[in-house]
Amino acid sequence: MSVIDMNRLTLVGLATQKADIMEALMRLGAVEMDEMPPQPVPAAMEPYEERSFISLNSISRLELAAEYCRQQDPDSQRLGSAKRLARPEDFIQAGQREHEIMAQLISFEHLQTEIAELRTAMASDQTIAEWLEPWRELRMDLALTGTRETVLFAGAFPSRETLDAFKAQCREESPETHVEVYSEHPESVRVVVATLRSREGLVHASLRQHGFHLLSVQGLAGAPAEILAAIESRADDQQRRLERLEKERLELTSMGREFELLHDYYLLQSDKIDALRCLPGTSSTFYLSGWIPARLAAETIRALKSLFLVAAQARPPEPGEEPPVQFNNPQVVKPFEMIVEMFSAPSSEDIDPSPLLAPFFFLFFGMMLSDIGYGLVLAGLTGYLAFVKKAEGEMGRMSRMLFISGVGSIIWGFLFGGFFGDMLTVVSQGKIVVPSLWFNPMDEPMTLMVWSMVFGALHLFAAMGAKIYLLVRSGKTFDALVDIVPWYFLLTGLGLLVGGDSIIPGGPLKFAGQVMAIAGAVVLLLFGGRDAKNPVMRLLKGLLSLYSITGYFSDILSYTRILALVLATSVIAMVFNKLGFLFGPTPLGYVVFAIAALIGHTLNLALSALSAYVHTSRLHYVEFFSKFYEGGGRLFKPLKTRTRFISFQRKP
Amino acid sequence: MKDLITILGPGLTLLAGALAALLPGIGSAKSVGRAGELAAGVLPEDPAKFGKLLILQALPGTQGIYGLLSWFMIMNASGMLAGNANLSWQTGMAYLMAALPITFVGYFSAIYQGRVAEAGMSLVAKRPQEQSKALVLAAMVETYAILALLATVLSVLNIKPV
Repeated sequence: MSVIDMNRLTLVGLATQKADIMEALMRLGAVEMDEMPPQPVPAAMEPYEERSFISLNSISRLELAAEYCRQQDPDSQRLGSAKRLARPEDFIQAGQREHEIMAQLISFEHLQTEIAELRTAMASDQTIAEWLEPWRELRMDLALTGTRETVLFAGAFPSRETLDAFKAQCREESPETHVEVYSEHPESVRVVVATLRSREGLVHASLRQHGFHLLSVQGLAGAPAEILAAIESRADDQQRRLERLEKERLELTSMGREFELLHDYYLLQSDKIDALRCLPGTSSTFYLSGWIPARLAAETIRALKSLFLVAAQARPPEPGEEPPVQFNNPQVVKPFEMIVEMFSAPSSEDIDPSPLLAPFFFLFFGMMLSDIGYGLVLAGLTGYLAFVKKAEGEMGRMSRMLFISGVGSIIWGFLFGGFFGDMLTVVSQGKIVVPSLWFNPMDEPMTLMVWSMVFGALHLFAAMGAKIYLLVRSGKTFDALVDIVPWYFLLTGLGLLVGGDSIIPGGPLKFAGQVMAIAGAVVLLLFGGRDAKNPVMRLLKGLLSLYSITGYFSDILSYTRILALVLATSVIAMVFNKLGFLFGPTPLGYVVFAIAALIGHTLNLALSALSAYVHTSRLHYVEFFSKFYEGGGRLFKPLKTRTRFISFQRKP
Repeated sequence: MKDLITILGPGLTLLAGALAALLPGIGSAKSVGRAGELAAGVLPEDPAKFGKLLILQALPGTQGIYGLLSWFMIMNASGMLAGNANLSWQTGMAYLMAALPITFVGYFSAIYQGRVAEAGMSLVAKRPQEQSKALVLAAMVETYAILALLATVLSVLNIKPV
């Protein structure tokens, strides 16, 4: 069995030791507490509530700072997103030095803000300088936007023609307007326009109509030359200050480790406070109930009793109690547990289907995405994520699962002879053909269809085998013998009846198939309706049970999707190769091909891998699980030390 | 009259390929488009769901690919891709018939799969951890597009162009 046995744990302890007991249990990470509504706890019993900084706010501030330091500090960079090893003592020390670390955090945050503000100021200076540079010689205070009776506009027209058109319009509408040309280039004519305040609206509209760009720093005090000089003189200062601040910040990134430690310390404390809130009890005792893996129960209780004053006991689950599920599978199977979890965790009635699912998932995914190239890319990317970047959590499991599946793709790519479709054949103009070690599905689609159904039947047989195991385990051996076993005979027999002659001509297999099919059908007919008393009813019900053959047929036909997806993957790859090589074997042709292939194959890989994943899952959820697996269980979620950056040695 | 009959073969073959690429393509475009609109509506609430929604949006897009695949198979098997236009009207007719399954089932399954994908997006918006269930629900519809594709492809491969 690949699920761990659970025991029911109940514990009564002293309220004064509550926090310490909880901490010990969190360190152990093997007890799941029953969910209870948070209890109103007298404030006096909460020693941690008084602690100053533990709040979601400081946790997220520490997280931000720690993440920044991870990326910038040369010592931390090599860790990537892996967890940093630390001793438990360091952890406690970080908690004791929280004031000091928080002070550092505040100065770090100050630096961050200062640098950001300085950067913004420098960027805005630079923009202003760029705008003003062409106006350097203009001897006009930019603060001057007009007098009591007049207004001034400084700006640029996109061309001489637009300026002339504007002038013409002014002559008609506002003859008082004066235009002073400051500089003239083919793509911009810089001018200052003066007009009467009473005409402002009219002239402004006319300017906009002719594509006039107002100098938007208008309103700044001083002539352009003065403003530019001021910007230049403070630029050096700012640059020096920026360098100094950045250096300070870089020095502070060595605090990253401390930030990480304190972040995780706070995270732990806040988890503990949350857990403590859920414990019922009296003013001097508390009560805790939950689940613990059976193999750890005795030892844990002994350890707890030696350290604290507690009454604790563990017992196996009683009928009607549904213990949570913790998988216990070898490393190769582990990533596939997520496929099972996505469906539903096994209940106490089920077996863990992961060990049975893993090889078939590997097989079907590999077939559907059968291409050496695609397999290499997929396994390479996910392998990098899983083993070099050491991605954790869902991402890590997904990567490991896809890595294994990608290896399957490579194997099937060799069997079917595909490397990015027919890329090598196209590029070498037919000189190189990747040989298929088994057969080429493009040439023999019918062969692949038959094999898809054969593999499908084996898949179903495995699922039926699991059902037999479940029936035998619950003492219904006879049911297994007459309800499931005959189907093996019937289905194999029918298969031989149809295809036996193509394996051994002359009919021996066909005859064997006939016998098997009839034997299976007869058993089903006789026993399918065995709960009916009336013999006629019993035969009729038996006949009805034979009707489930349609279900088996549609299940097996469903596996022909493997053929369709194999064809889709390889034909679309061929289409991209063909399109990419339109320019033929010329240097330009190869460049075009490289670009087209990169885009096309990326797209095809993404879509085909998605299809392969979704349809392999479906074959398991619908065809495979329906034969023996129901799910409905609950995953084991032990109380544990949840950390983000640090992993430290446990001591129970 | 004789001219008409000589162009009928390649004409019908082209029609077969065109229909196979056309209707499933339209169906996929419609569904992917509507699912995209819905996804864009969910994203402002939680931009982190982008990846999960994108995958759901892509699902009803496969019919368009199956359509293109069928077009390619028809063009390739008939030899038209290599420039052969000497096809009898009977061959053309056969290709047209062979194209019918993916043409119609492709179109309608794309529309209905799109609706399941959209419903799946509402599920993911509320409970992101249930994404795989939404995926499988949508993939149930695709089964029929796959079966139709198989019918078309196997027919096309078994027609001897004359």
